[in-house]
Amino acid sequence: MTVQELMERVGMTQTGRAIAYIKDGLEEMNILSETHVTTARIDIVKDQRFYDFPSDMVKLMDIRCKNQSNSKDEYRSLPRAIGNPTNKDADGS
Amino acid sequence: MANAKQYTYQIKGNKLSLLEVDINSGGDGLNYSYDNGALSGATSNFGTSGNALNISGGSSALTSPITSVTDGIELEYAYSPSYSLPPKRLDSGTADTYHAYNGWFIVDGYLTLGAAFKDFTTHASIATDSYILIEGSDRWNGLHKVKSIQDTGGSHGGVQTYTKVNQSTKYFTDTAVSWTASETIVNVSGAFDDIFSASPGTNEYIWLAGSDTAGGVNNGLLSGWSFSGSTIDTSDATLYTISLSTETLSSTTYSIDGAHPLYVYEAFREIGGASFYSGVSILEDESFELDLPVYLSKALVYYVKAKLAEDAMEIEAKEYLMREFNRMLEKHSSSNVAGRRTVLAGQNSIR
Repeated sequence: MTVQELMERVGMTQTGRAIAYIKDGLEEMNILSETHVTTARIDIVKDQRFYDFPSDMVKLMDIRCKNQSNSKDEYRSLPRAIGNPTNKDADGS
Repeated sequence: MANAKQYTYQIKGNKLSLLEVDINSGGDGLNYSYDNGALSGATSNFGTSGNALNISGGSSALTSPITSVTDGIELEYAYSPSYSLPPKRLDSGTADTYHAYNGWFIVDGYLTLGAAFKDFTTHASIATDSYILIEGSDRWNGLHKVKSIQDTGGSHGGVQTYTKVNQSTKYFTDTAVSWTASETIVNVSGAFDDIFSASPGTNEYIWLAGSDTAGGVNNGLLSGWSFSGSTIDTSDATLYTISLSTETLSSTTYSIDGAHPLYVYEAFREIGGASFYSGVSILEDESFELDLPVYLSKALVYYVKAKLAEDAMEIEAKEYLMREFNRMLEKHSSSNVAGRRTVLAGQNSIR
């Protein structure tokens, strides 16, 4: 389905407004039911605690690390830590 | 074979905080030890005479990652499909749509991508105001809009995007310097020393630009330079180049070039390299094809109708349409499920 077809079904004529609502709708879909899922890998850097999320991420579903609780280079899910770690990091908190 | 590790994470604002269990001493991270013969002549509850549980001298703590690991973190996430990718072509010359890079830096506040010796202007699909999709980056995965592209002799020699970076980085320029055959850049202002370190650490990188020699051999991503007097010495520096997708470490080999401007940017290395698609189609006009299955297409129609009803303050209609939107999402989810469902037994459950 093209944007034009969608606009005709809805009865709209303003393209810019339609595109804005379509973008909102696509994001809402993925927040509610994760219809489009992908993975990204980033490097772990020694002594670096904070890492950025991908700029196109709408909803985080899982965080896995290489060799987490295994020595077979498998990626396994991480548990989320509760509370503040005792050892602070140089780049904040 | 790699050693097993124990990571955990927290969310700090818009960043991922990654923590690793650091076993400081004692070898096992336990707060007790089983000491054979610790209680000579006594009887322990935990073993035969002479053995006992004791408090361990070892301990463990959560700290920042102890070692670097390439591709160590894998994020699984949902994204908005508001773009479509071109065919992946990376060996067809000017028609390439997939490009490797290994350094980024900031030009006039905007994210700029660079790869030593690569002239991005020769690729038809990388054009001003077109879109690129970065993947494999430590920080910049996702869509970006191209602001400008320069060949290897330009003032930055890379692909500048419209992505604003709220980060202050070092920058130096000089009007007339010379590149010599002994891998040095001479006649450089002493201000270089005030801005960049004269003897940098192993993880400090610079992006050199300005020389317009053939192939851009005098420019690129470097580490391990030194500065003295008015000379930048790169004879012991490491030059980071990248081919189709493989990063290569080498040393500099300058072509003699005189009286050219020099531009030096503080740079950040994508270790091992990252890539981007060029010529990405994005949702910006009526001809864009929404690649959605049937139920999601219907759901999107209901969503747009609901928004129009909300704008017209027809709240009942909006509520009805949003209910239909959610119903279509549920139908889509159900349509992907077939057969019996079974609950897997847990690791420690009774079987």
